Amino acid sequence: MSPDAVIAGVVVLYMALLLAIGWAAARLTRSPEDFFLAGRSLGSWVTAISSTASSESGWVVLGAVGMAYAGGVSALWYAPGCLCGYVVNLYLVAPRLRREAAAQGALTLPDFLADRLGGSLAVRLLSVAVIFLCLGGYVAAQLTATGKAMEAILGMPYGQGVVLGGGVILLYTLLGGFRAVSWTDFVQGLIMVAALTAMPLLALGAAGGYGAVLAGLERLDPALVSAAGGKTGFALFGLVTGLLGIGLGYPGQPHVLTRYMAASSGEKIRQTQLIAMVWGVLVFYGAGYLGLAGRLLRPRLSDPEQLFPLLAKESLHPLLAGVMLAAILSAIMSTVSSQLLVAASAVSRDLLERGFGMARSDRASLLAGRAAVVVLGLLAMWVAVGQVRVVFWFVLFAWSGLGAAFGPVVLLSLWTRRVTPWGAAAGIATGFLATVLWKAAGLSDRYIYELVPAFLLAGAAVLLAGALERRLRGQGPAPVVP
Amino acid sequence: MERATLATHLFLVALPALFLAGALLAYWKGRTREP
Repeated sequence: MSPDAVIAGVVVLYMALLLAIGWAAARLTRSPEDFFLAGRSLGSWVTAISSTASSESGWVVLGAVGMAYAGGVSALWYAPGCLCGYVVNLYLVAPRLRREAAAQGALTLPDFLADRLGGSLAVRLLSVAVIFLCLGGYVAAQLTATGKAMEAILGMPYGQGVVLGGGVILLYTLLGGFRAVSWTDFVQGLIMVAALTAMPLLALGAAGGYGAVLAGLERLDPALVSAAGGKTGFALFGLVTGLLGIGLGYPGQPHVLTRYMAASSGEKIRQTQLIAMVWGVLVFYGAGYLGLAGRLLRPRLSDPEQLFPLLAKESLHPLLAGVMLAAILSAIMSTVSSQLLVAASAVSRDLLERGFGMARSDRASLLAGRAAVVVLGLLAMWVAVGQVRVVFWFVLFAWSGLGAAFGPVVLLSLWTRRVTPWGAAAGIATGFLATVLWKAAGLSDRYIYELVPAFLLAGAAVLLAGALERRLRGQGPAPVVP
Repeated sequence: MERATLATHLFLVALPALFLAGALLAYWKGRTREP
């Protein structure tokens, strides 16, 4: 059997496993709480690894590796940035969010925010609009990445790759809802961490070890082994705050936060914290070390983002290479399915059911949720196949838009008594608009990553509009929901 | 050891080890911020 046939066989087996998981999860999905939140029954391993796998898209296996390849040691500032985001999410957000969302009976992030603020329709509708704008385009873009990965791995035409990869994601999400998405994300997260632990170790070994890699990079260019990357002054400040700033996005990602809401107990969250931190350290630093060693092993790559698949195909047994390439698909697919479900829940649960009072029975709500998955999934596949350019414009600020819109309001509403309906609405709108305007004005390239100013402005907007509302209504701080 | 080299080793090796040690410590002590 040819190596390409073996690799294709592994990928087909992997797809079959995902569908089998979707089928098994469907048998346990009977109510809207099952479909949108797995009946709040997730254990610590699934909560931890599915939340981390869904937050890291193909960026970590392709983009981060390529950044370390091109930029050297200084590119690894993204790793502490992302891990600081994990710390905020896991230690400051997850325990309280799980407890309070369960007490409120909230199934989605807009549910949690709106119900906490007296059923504010403005907060709910604004949340849905931001989620839809950011995640709708993101799903389509990730499906584009799925198509390209299938094209590269299986050699099939791009359009067929989108339909096959997207079809599998759509089917298991439709069948098993949140439970299927979480279980498949768990499996995908395990494949990702195995690949990003094994490949860097093999690459470091092939390049002569840690010391030899640093010495080799220094011979190429001394700036490659400096944490400052040869930069000084404002350029260094921009590099470090920009890469560290990626971490500010974590507390605002609805597809990650819902995993914490679905954990079955506070003790599970405590275990989740440790598992997710270990996963994060292995994956982020694994990607970085792979990029550094790869610079010596394959010094003249025209596209550094192709380092991971290239090394896997060239240096591993086809069976192992197939698993490594399944890791790339895993990184992409775990993010797509989570985002698709959150976008669908924004339409069916938040807009139709809670916003306009439609589909209130369990049966109707479940049907609406599944219908939204099908419609949005097919729409995203159509956009991906046709490569509708305007949609991909939204992807440029999807991570930062969500992070700035929801991060400050989630953190402040969990930890202070100062968030009011006006404050939350002002924070969500300011975070999203500041991100778009900063990016569109080209300030991200000239000064600093848009998420940093947008996050700070949104936090200020929450507090200022909240103080104004309380003053006008003659109220003190609202009580924290017990 | 040169200062720049030491900074690189701290950045690449000690920093991830610090995150792992912190997570382990938080787990064993049960010191989440949940009241």
